[in-house]
Amino acid sequence: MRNKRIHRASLLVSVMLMSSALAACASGNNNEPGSSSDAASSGSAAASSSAPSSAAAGQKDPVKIKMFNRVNADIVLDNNPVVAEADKLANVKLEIEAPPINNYVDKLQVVMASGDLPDVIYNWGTAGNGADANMEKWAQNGLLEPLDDKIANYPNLMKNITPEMWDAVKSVNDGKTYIIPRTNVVNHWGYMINQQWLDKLGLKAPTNIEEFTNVVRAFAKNDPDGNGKADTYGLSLSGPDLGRNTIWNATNFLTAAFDLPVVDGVKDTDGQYKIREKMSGYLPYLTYLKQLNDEKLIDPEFLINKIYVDTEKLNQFKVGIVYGHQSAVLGNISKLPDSEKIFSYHGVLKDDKGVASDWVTPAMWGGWMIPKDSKKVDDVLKFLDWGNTAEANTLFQLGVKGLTYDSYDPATKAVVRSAEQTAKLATITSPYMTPANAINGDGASIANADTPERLAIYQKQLDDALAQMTVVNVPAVRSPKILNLNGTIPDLVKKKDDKEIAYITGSINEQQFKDFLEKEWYPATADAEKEYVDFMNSLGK
Amino acid sequence: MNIRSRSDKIFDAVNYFVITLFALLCLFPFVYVAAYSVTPYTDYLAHPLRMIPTHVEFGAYRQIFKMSVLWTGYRNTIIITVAGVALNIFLMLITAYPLSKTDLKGRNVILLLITFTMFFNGGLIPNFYLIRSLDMYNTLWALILPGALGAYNLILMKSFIGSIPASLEESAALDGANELTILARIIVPLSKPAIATFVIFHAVTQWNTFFNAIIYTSKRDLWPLMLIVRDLVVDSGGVARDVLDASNSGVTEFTIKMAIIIFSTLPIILIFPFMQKYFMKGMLIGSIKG
Repeated sequence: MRNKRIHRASLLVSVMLMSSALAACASGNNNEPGSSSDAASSGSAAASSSAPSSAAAGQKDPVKIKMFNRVNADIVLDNNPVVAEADKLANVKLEIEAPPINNYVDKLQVVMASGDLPDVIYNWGTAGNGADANMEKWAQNGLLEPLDDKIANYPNLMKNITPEMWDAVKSVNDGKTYIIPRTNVVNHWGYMINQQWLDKLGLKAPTNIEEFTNVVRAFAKNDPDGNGKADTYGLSLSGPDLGRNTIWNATNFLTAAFDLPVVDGVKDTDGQYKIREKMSGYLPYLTYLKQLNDEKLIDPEFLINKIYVDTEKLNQFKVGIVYGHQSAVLGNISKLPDSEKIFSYHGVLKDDKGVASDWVTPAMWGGWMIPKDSKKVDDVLKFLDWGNTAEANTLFQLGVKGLTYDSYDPATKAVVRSAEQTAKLATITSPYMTPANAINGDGASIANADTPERLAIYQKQLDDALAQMTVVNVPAVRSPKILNLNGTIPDLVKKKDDKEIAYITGSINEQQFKDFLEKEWYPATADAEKEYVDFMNSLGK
Repeated sequence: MNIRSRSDKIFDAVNYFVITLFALLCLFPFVYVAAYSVTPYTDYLAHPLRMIPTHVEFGAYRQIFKMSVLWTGYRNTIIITVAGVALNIFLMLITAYPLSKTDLKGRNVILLLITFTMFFNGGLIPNFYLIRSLDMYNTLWALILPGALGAYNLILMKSFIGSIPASLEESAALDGANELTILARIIVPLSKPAIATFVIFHAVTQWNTFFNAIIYTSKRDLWPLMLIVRDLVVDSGGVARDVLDASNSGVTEFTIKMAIIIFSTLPIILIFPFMQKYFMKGMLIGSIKG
């Protein structure tokens, strides 16, 4: 009996200890510096707290704007000098909440579900422009403010964001605008090549498919690295994930030779819109890759390389050519110092008519959403309007004069800064911080162009590429069925990818591949193709 | 007399070979990362699988030591690990001990409720609301308390305590010890292997925690180390490149990433040798019938 009483007493004590420990922990956080109570209250009262203060103090008081953005980990947001300068210039009080970029969408989903929404929310989106399925869902659920009747009042937004960009982000459900595009630098995709190998072999950067074949053959067969071994390849490719074939990832430089755009929204050579698999260059392009593979001129892992693996092989001097845009060579300096002395950038190859088509899609990097019925819609739009000026772009890309650079010439984009200033810049701002990452398609500065020589190399290579290429502005395709084939017929899409690989590697012949397309792929995509073609024709372009 | 047949010796040799091979396989990634954190990138490009650096360069470490965000992460991780482990062991002992008593009234109901949490939970959004309504949002408590008492480990601990001979407790009771004294003086000392094992398990879990921090914090100065490391190393855009000035320092993104991985994992790896003695015994606790 006595033992049982003790058992019960001990159990009670244990339960009490557990309860008190949990209770103490839960309440104890109130005493933790910079925590809890003020954070919780800032979360729940953020929207209301600023409104009365600004109203009471008049319009000239800075407006508190709570921003939810995707910012890299090394940026210190507390007491950030760039944010402080932006506050001053735009007359706002910016409060940035920035979850880790790798889990940004996870946190964004939680925030949107919580109902306690910030004043302006960045959405990256799977399409690159922010107008993805999440945006559509939130708009349908009444969480987002339609902005169509307001944006016209903001001149910088209307000037910096092109009509194509506005079209690209319109909801496919109701045609309304729920997101302000974050403009990005216009990339001219071409290729990066080992210039030292070219020079050693007495070759020039190729401009058409014949020259290209000769160069990759020489890179693979003529020992360009001089080690006496046949251990180099002419070309490599890579894909953002294993679920998508690498042969369509930024391979503009090669597909242009076959008049085969890697993006939707471009007519075929006969002037008609078609799905890619029906285009005249589709089979010749695959056949050309098959030829490169058969001759062992291309990296044997080119079909399975994950993103950046091709660049690593380039830096290891195992391959001579990878895809890249105008900033690729200088951008590679952070991976391989002196890259600008080893590699060069060139535009896409010419087709058999001598035309090098540079397909340029609306350059966007996500966009900004405003919660429905927000009292700060105009304040946020005013801030974003300022964000689309050169002043804002320069601030967010270059930092604060004296702190992160000594001088800047907007005409040449030449920046003078010390090593300490460069290190400081990396902790206070980055492209992720920009409201708009480009003004009229250009950024305020060019990554790693920190000497006049590097700047000159960049400019010359870009000028040469643009002189060779014909820029083709591709409208945004707002045709849900063609954009969502992965969701509607995932197995068949995977099967088509596998068949392409099988054809390139010789596992099936051309007739077998054509049979698959005719009997399975074309019928399954007919509906989506019709919607796509009708949409493109409706644009009248 | 120890007579070993030829087949026994062959069996041992094969065993040793396989175990050594497995150990080397486990060690390989760590040695690889450690080696290339001090190897110039150009050497890596030339010899991507060389485990012993020919030139040693600590530039990457010098660069990351300047990153205040990593030190903040370290501070937070140490706090949540130390506090989390202490709380976990305390709660586990005071809960497992009474539950190990077979004559405890309502024991089965309590065990059922505890087991239930192994299979069902509220989900992400309700948990978010819960943490916020408890005023734990944006505090380190949100990274300590939700995982402070795991059902699975609790059941293992209960089994371990249940396996301690009841006669020891009875002897102590005859000498006048109450339950708390028995717990402190008899049960805890005899449970050292189990406690050490759970310390390691929970310390590793806490050290590696990152997802709760994403959901339950919005302030960067509360991020634990692994969240920062993840963003610096895994980021698809290669954020690590921003922390360095390659043209001035000669250190590349790749080397920085390797150094960050070593910098962030070394402390928790160093704990193992000191706990190994108890850990080997503790590994068997799951096999003891409760």
